[in-house]
Amino acid sequence: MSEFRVTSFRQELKVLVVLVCFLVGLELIARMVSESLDDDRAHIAQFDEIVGELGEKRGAVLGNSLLLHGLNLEQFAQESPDFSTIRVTPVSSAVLDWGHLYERYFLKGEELPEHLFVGFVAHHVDDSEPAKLRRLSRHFVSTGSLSQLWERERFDIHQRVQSGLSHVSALIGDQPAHRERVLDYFIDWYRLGLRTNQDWVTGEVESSVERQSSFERMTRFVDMVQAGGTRLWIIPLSQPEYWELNSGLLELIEKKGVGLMDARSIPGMTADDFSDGYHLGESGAEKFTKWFAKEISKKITQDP
Amino acid sequence: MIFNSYQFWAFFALVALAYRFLGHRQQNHLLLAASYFFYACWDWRFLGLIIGITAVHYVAAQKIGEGDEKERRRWLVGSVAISLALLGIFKYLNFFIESTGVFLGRIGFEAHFESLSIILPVGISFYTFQTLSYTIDVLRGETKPTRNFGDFALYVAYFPQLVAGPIERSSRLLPQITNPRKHRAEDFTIGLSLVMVGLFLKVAVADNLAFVANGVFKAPEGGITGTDALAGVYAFAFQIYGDFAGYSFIACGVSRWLGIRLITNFKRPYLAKGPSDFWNRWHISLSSWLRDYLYIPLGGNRKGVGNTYRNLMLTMVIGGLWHGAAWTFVIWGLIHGVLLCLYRIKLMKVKVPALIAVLVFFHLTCLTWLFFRADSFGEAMVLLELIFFEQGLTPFSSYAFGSLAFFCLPLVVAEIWSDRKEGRRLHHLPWQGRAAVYCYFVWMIITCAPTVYSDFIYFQF
Repeated sequence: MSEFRVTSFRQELKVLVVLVCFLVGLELIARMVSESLDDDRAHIAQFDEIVGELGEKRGAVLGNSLLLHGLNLEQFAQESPDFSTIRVTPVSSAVLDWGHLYERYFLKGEELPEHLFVGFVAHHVDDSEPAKLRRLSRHFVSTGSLSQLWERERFDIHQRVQSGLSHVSALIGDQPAHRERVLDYFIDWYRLGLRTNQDWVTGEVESSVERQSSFERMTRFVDMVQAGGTRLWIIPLSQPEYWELNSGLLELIEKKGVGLMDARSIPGMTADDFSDGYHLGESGAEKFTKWFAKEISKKITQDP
Repeated sequence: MIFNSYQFWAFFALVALAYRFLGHRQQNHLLLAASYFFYACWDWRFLGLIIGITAVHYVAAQKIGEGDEKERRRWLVGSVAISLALLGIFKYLNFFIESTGVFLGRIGFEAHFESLSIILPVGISFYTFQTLSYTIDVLRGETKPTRNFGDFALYVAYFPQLVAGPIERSSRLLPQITNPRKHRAEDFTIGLSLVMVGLFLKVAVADNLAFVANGVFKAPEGGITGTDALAGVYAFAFQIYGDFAGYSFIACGVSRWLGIRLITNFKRPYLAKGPSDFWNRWHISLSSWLRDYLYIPLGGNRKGVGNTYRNLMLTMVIGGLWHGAAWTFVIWGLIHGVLLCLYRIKLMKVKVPALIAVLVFFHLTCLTWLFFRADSFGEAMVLLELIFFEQGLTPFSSYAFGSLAFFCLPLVVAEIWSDRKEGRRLHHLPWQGRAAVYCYFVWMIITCAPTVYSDFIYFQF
């Protein structure tokens, strides 16, 4: 090893140039592989196309993995021939994501749905639900709404920079998906281990944090949807154990005239209809879809 | 405003830019203002505390410099007492209240003491030790008291090392503040390498392994095997190293960009072959402080074998307590003290190959980390029992060991490379080599950073 030769700032610039080129290369690769990172990114990449199909359909279903697994669109088409719907269900999304997503993909389009159905369980519509900042900024928020998001969510400077970078850069915005792909490749049992790890870490945090429910995000979302003339329906979804709707949320939907389709207790649905204690399995999806078609028939097509 | 936040880098860019265009005195004023701003960003209410401690030691040092022997000692005792009293109130009062309550309960007295609601000022342990060393050095005649209050205030509050060290000595840092600084051509290169290594250690290594370690230490009882627990302890060992060494490297790097050299705080500690070697490599600024201002004044190894062991134990227990007000830290210090004594009486100094010595001592260090990280002695003992008696490979342990290998193996290889020739550093590589290593760091920092970044562990000390 030769002794350290004094290098000047100018000489070190060569190192920095290599670094910048490397970063540009990474960004290009990240953009190229974005859609193939996971099923969620593939779904997000189709949002424009899915929303474009609205012209032929009257409804749109908005939600997360609960409805992705819980609603069988083919079965629904058979059960409800008079009423068709599109479905936009990015995984692990919540009302903050749905609000921005609706604004970016639906409001900019020519057609708005007549009816919008939003499926959730309690925490998804609560303001305390943490924002998934990178994906939200990259895929759901429109450029014009970025500063609004920062103000409303009271982001600190770090979060604002992170959010801005995520919006313009696939490398930063899709970082969690890249991370998962890389670590899943290199580390045995990564996904299962991570889930266990997460349960242990968040288990303690959640048991020590008492949630204070508030619904500012939900209120903004309702106002935005209704301003476009769309009838909004909320669907509290089935879980293995019955759960209570927050009284504040009930007040809000009553005050704003939001429709309620209560799926918390669907006749015949049991704990065995859930594949993992949270999402509906095949039999559960069949029961939910049947129930949903009936609700639409009862509340919309027969009684418009 | 932590080093791995965008706020810090925006703040530093502004300071560094203004710094370039100023003369020496104005640079010091700028650094002092920036340091107080940096500290106020944590909690502005403690600005008064740090300025107060600065004033006490400034005045004490002046008086020590001028007075007769009796007066000099009186000023030293007074200033040290004030600093330690403040440290005691903010950091240890609740610990002593609670411990007294428990102790009285154990011996049959019903005592119920209310804990006080006290916020620990960030970095208080670091700047208390830094000011103490200054005043003691003035008394010893190793440092001349500085006449310029602004310079001394900057010595106490210099932002790169204010909240988590390294704990600087006046003989080293003060001259760099009081004298005009030279611009050295290599400062940018060395600063960059230190910052890159520091960010890698913090963001890629520490924060990722923190998640694994937190999982193990928060797992429900009966939910993990000994292999899981072992992986958690290893993860914590690398977490605390990445976290603290990462902070120190970044501090040294940004300081280097300002033309000020800080002490190297870590030198590949997990390659130590024994406890003395370890303390020459781990948190060097604290271990050398404890040696110079506690162990040697207590008599060091000059007053017989028994007193040497007593001094070692006392120094390490106080070192443990310095880290935090909890019995687990005391136990951590005790174990290190015992290890130092055992190695000293050569019970464990059997001639073994270097690799074996390193591996054995790494595991002994991990044993101490188990007590350091555990919430209680009981929890540490449960994990220890699991590790020794209930080994069993699970998907979680595969994931945890996989994470350790992915995040730490390149680091271990680099440390062995660096250790094989003392003084060999990343900036010694040719520019192409540096560029390649930085690309790896950047890829790891961007792609493999955990979604939630965490504070530096040592801020709580």
